[in-house]
Amino acid sequence: MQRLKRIVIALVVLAVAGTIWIPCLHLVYARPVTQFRQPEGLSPKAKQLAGRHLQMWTDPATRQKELDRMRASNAEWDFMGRSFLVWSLANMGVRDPASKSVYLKTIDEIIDETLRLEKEKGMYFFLMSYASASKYVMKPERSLFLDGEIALMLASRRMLEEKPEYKSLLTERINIITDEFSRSPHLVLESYPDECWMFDHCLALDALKMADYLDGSDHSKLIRDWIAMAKQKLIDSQSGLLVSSFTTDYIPLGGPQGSSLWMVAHALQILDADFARDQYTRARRELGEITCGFGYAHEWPASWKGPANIDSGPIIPVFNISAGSSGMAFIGASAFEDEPFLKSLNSTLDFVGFPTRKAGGLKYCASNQVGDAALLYASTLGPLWEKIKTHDHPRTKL
Amino acid sequence: MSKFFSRRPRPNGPLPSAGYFLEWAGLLLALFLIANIAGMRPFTSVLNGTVGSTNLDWQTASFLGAAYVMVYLAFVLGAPTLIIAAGILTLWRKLARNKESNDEPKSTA
Repeated sequence: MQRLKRIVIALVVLAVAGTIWIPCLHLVYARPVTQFRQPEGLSPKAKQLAGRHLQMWTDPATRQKELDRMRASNAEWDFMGRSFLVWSLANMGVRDPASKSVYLKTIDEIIDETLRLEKEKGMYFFLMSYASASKYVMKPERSLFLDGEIALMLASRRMLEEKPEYKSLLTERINIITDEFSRSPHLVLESYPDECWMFDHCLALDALKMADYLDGSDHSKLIRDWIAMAKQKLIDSQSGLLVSSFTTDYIPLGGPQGSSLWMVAHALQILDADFARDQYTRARRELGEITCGFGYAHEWPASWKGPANIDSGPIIPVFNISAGSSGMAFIGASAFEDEPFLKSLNSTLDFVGFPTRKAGGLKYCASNQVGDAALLYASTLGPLWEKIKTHDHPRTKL
Repeated sequence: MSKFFSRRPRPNGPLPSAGYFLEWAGLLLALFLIANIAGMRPFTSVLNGTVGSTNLDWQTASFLGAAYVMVYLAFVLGAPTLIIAAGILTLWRKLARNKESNDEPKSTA
């Protein structure tokens, strides 16, 4: 009886101690938001994340090991890791002009290697295997995923510093995208066979916008028409959020997914700022959470039920935490300067991201190269978008 | 747990010993250190669906990642809770002893 009483008391004391400790836990990981992102210059975390990526691009063996791990799960991540890194380095070049030459060298290496691989191995090299299992609706088959992100890589590089060789490559890629749009009966383009992605459309339109800035072209009507179409056809009626994937006939495939939406809201900032803000506000309300000081994000709003997939990552039950959505939420929170959410996300990252530091570089073990590159982008984004927002068509104004 | 409790000399009175909690906290710390020394941390990439190592099969890599996460959470959540619990018990015991000594009949001689 005495022993049972002791056990009961022990359990009660443990419960009380847990009630004291758990709400305080986030204080161990809480850091000022400037540790992650600064209005000007580079934050300490951005420097460390970039340090590790730059090490990878100077050490082919490390890079290959990391790419092999990612490609074993998803070949797309290899490509997206490159895109996010190029966009990050282009922003970093504006933030940290002293190191611009280092960033430009790495950007050019990445772009040249990506274009070489695309040419030698074809577009399927960077797509998941099911891309070749069925036929694209539009012919010749192209993936907006690749065309849009490559165009945005080339444009971002030229935004940082002009490179004549890339001007023709960007124009060529932009012409392919606009030609595809003009041939598409519904103004939507495939990334996979009869599978279109909001993420890819918004980034492709960003590339058009950047090309307008760089070369004085004018794609504003196409951008306006596309956004009007998206507002009319591609909004989930329950949440008011854009659906993430859909067929060429506008049939939604995956509902509004956090792993896409946070980036979509950011991409919309230079296309339609009010619509972008509306989407972020809705995503924050429907998908973002802060519990006991830790921020995280769901993959779907409460009104949509979907299975865990390669984009969401495993869904942690009870709290419905999606690793994919939570990682991309950094981009949304950073782009819309939502400091409380960004700070709480950063606490979660340091709590369960399993950071490791080596030779001045930082990586998160619970992440991978593409995840870390997306975090780097979240910690550096801003300067390129600011240029676009404040200077429409500089060439035509000259 | 009950075996652990029964092996120890019975503490005086109805309260469990704070030392038990500290021993468990020490055990969690030791497990966490072993998992780190064993190099299990990189396998936590299972959380985003990436294999921890291309030299191991998916199941083994996932198991190692999940095991590390469990050990880490047990340490981060459990060890401080156990230490706080030990502090509460020590305080409780002290208060109980003070009360006992205050309640003892005092000599009037």
